[in-house]
Parts: sequence; C-alpha cells; structure tokens
Amino acid sequence: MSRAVEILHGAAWRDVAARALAAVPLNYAVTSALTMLIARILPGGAQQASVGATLLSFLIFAGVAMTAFAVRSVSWLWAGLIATGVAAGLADWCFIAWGGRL
Amino acid sequence: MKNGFRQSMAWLHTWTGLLLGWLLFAIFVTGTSSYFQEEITAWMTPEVRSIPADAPTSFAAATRWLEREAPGASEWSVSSAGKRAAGLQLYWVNGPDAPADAPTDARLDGAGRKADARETRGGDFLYRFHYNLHYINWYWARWIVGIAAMAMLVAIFSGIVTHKKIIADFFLLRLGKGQRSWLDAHNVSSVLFLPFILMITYTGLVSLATHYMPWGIAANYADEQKFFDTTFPWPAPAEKAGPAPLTAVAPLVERAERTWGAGAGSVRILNPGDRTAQVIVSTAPDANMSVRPRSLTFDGVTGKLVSAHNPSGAATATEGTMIGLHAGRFASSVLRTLYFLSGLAGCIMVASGLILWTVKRRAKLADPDRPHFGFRLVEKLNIGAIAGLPFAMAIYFLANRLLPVEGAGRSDREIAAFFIAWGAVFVWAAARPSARAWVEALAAVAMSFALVPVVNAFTTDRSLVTSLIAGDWVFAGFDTAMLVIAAGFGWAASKVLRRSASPRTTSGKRPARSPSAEAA
Amino acid sequence: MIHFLLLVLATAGFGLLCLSRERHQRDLIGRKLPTRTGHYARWSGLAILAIALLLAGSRLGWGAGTLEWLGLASVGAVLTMAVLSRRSMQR
Repeated sequence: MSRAVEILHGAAWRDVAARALAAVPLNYAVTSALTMLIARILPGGAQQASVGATLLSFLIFAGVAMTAFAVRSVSWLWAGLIATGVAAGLADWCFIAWGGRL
Repeated sequence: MKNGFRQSMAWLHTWTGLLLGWLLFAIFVTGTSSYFQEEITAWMTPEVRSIPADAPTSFAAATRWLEREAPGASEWSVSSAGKRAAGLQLYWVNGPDAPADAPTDARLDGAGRKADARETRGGDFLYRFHYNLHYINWYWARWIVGIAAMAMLVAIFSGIVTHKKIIADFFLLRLGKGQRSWLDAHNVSSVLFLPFILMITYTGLVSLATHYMPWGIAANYADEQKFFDTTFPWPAPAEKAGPAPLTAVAPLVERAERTWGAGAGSVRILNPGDRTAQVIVSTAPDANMSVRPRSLTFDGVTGKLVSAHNPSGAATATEGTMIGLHAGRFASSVLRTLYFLSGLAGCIMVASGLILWTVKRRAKLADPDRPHFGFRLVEKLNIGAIAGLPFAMAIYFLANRLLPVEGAGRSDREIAAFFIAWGAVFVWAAARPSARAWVEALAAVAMSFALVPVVNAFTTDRSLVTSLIAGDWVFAGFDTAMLVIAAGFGWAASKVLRRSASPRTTSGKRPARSPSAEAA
Repeated sequence: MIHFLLLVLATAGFGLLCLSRERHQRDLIGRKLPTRTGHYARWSGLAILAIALLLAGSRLGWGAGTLEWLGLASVGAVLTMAVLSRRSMQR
C-alpha cells in the first residue's frame, strides 16, 4: 500500500492538517498568483484576459487541492507550491512594473 | 501508486462530501426550486392574475403609470423576468422635492395596473438563499457557499477518479441490499447526470467568480471599478436641462426587439420629462443563452438611437454563457423540466452520499447501540438537513396562505416560519432515537406538503380543481407538485418504517452494564 | 413531437448499450447473447444516441438542442436502469 494511504488511514492528523493547509490557504495564494500571471499573458486585451484567467482559476484551485492529498511527500508538496507561488508572484510583479495597469 | 492515488481520492471525496454535504443539500434543493421561482412567486401572490401582454404594450403601460405616480423622478426602471413572470417590477429614484418616505418601487400586472399582492418574497427568497443564505451578511454567505461549491467540485473530480467501475456499474441499482443499494443510488444519481452536475458546480463558481478571485482583474486594472464600468456600463442621469415631453416608449421597444430578434426585458428611463431624457432598452433574461444583456440607448425626446451595447469577446461570451447555463432562464418548458429533474438528481446524490456514510459506518460500529459522538452527530445532522429543509419549504408555503394578507413585515414572518420549522426538525432529531426521528420527520414532510393544496383551497379561490377547470397550469401544476412530493416523502417514510421494524443485525448480547439511554 | 421522439431514441440507445453488457443480459432477456450480437448492440446503441443528437441540434438549434439531448440522455439512462433494476429483482 502506498505511503500516502498509510499515512491517511493512520489518523496522523498533523499530516492531514499540513495537506489541508496546503490545499486551502496556500493553494489560494498560489492560485491567485498564477491567475494574475495568466491574466497578463492571455491575448485579446485586458478585459478579456482578466475574465479568461478568472474562469480558469477554479480549475487550477481544484487541481492543486487534489494534488495536495495525492502526493506522497508533504515536504515536497509545500516546497513545490511555495516555489510556484514565489515564481508566479515575481513574474506578476515584473509584468506590472514594466507594463503598468489600466 | 495508482491504488494509493485512488484511495487518497476516496478519502478526499468522503471528507469534502461529508463536511459540506449538509450545506450542499440546502443549496441544491433551493437552487433546483429556483428553476420555477417565477411560478412559485405567482402561486404565493394569488391576487395577481397575469394578463399576458407583449413587451411593448406592457412597458408602455408601465411608463404611463410612472408618469402619473412618479413624474419628478430622475430615473425610472421597469423590468420583467421574461415571458413567465407575473407582471412587471418597477423601481424609480424620486426627485429631490419628493418626501423622504415616498415609495420607490411597485409591481404592476401585465396590463399596467398596480398589483395589490400580499407582501411576500415568493420564490425569490429560495433563489437568493441558495447563494446568499439568510440572516448572514451576503459577503460572508457567498464565501461560505463558494467554499461549499469548491468542495463539491473537488468531490466530483475525486469521485470520478475513485469510481473504478464507472462504466461497468453504469446501469446498476440493486435495491433492498442496504449499503450496496445506497452506494448504487449515489453512483447512479451522480454518474447518469454527470454533465449537469459538473456544469452546475463549475458555473456556480463562475457566477460569483470575482467575489472569490478578484486578482485576475487586479492584474490588469489598478482600479477594479474601471473594469466593472467598461464591462457593465450603467449610465447615470445627466443634469436636468428643462422640461420636454417623453417620446412614446412602445415603438422604441418594438424597434429594439426587431433589431435583436429577441425579446426586451427591461426599460430604464433617465430624466423622464426632461430634455436630457434617455431610454435604455435591454434584452430579456430568457432571450439568449448568455446572461449578459444587449442594450440600445435612445434619446428620450426624439427617439433617435444614440448608442448600442453588445457584450463581445471570447472570454465574455464564455462567461456569459456559463452563467446563462447555470441559471437556465433561456430554457423552454421541456428543457426547464430537464434542468429541474437534473437538480433533483443532484439532491439525491448529496442526500444518498450523506446517508451512505452512516450506513457504512453503522456496520463497523463497535457497539451499535452506543455509537460514538461523531456518528450520532452525522445521523442527527442528516435528518435535520435532508428532512428539515423540505419541511421548511412546505411550512413557508403554508405560512404564505395562513398569515394575514395585510400588514407590514409579512414576508419576514413567512421566512421566519421557514427557519423555525427547519430548526424544529434539528431539535426533534436530537431529542428522538434516530431511526424513529427519520420516520417521524419524513412523515411530517409528507403531511405538510399534502396540506398545501388543501389550505390553498380554503384560503383562496384558486384551488387545484378551479385551476384545472380554468386551464391555469401554473397553479394546477404547483398544487399537483405538492401532492407528488407529499407522496414521495410518504413512501420514503413507510420504507424507513418497514426497514426499522424488520429484524436488524443489532447485538443480541448486551454488555453487562446498565442499559444504555435511548440517546441513539 | 420532437421531444418525445428524442426521449424514445435516448432510451432505446441506452437500452441497447445496457443489452451489450454480458452482466445485464441475463436480467434483461433471460439469456446471454453471443459476443458479436453484443457488439452490434453496443454500436447500434451509440449510433442511435448520435442520431438523436443530430436530430436535436438540427431541429432545436445546436445550443438548446445539445442541452436537451444531454438531459434526455440522462432520463433515458435512468429509465433503462429502472427496467434493469426491476427485472433483476424479479429473477
């Protein structure tokens, strides 16, 4: 049986809590940063890009939430999410600093 | 790893489903009823007999009424909920010399006469409840509902992953087999209606998208108001310049309908009776699959076309259609019925999932006569949620007929009756042994729904028989639906009664201690 | 009328799909079908559903038609399931 399953059935609440924190608040931060990035790079003008990115954001959030409970290592989960969030946030800052906003 | 993935998704599915299931059931039930909210409102205002009139005529009649009743207003707004609405809803902004407590809204029937209907929120209360809840500030309510909706989305995806035999078990509904039957019911109601359930959940999130995810806008707009102003233009009345007669409204509405090839749903008149008057005509909610209306702005004195607003762009079209799919206002009567049936399947899916949880765990209880607290809590909450909400709706309808027609605050009291009834079922479930509480609650639901057409017959002149004779399908349909629902819950109550009467695999041996209190 | 026809086609389509499964054949018709017949049942069931979709789209418009097809497909599947459930209980 995979470790993920062992841990989940073993009522290791710290593991569940760590995954839940990754799946909800951390997820929200990362998804928001990614959504902003997508809104900057989608074509079609600011209005359409903003709407399009917002539509996609729910899929991203759901996907990350499921991943948080599927992966074996919680440490890699947190590391990966934080890295993604920081990278996306940096890219957002660059885009906005260069290109400005309406 | 494959097995581990499926099992971790099964765990996720169980927890997201369980923790949010009670709220999701309420959202699904009230949301499903919203497909007939206009009919519910019509039944709850029996004084209003809607006279079908085409849009130009009824908007013109409303304008004439407003000319008499609110001549100095800076803004008039007339809207109709589409072809099925019983009348028109009017709002206006009084001029500066009107008294502070002058009315600002009214309801007219299709012929332009003020509808003296009893004060009620009608079907609109149930509709708004499903995303705004009640007694809670709307801002937090929508967050709570949004969390439930996202949990639902995760539950759907994880459910699909977990359901190994999704094709093999597609048609399977084995009745009379306890846990297996509940699992089959849960599978069938979700898999056979999967397109709808996936759509309704995702589009539900999209409907309130910017509430949850404003950052897509923030990335491109320093001031989000700029985004909303461009996307949802809402012109304000200009400075008044001097009196001038308002042009005839009916020809403008006709012209708009011809231009669009679709019905008009609202007319907004800025500065009526002034030189700067403008008439803004917008498409009806049932004119298009997309929920974003088109509008035409005319000069209010000359009647010339000034500007047009047509939502454009792929993302806007997608978003508008997604929300349109969720609300289903464009749907014909056949499609609306399919929406309703699919919504019912969603309710059954959530309810069967919640019940499955208890059935599964009852089999694993160490002492079935003294289940642990978590199990007892879920059982009680199930009864309160699954039987309580339908009971509350029946009481809401009964209150509409039984409360005095006159008097202020009437609609608030109808709503209070709804919540008191719902709470009462929770209290009853907590106080009674669960098996009996189920039977009693389901029976109460059946009886209260059956009472609705009876009370209707005694308190109005639009009983089921009268409506059938008059060909009034809205009233006849509503009363009939009440009886069908009553029959359904009566059947459920009798099944639960028979199941608990037949010998169960409870422990024959009692542990050597004092008999447990009848708390379970 | 078109709506009733679409419902009939959807039910027939899913009925054939149900029949194509060995597991359900005994409950539905009392015996197992030869494998080739089962394949015919599956493909004809899918074909009928496809025809229903084309009919719905052309007569009701592709937007509303597809939606109605999806809804009626669900109802047809439920009806098939109900028949199967009933017959399996009777055996």
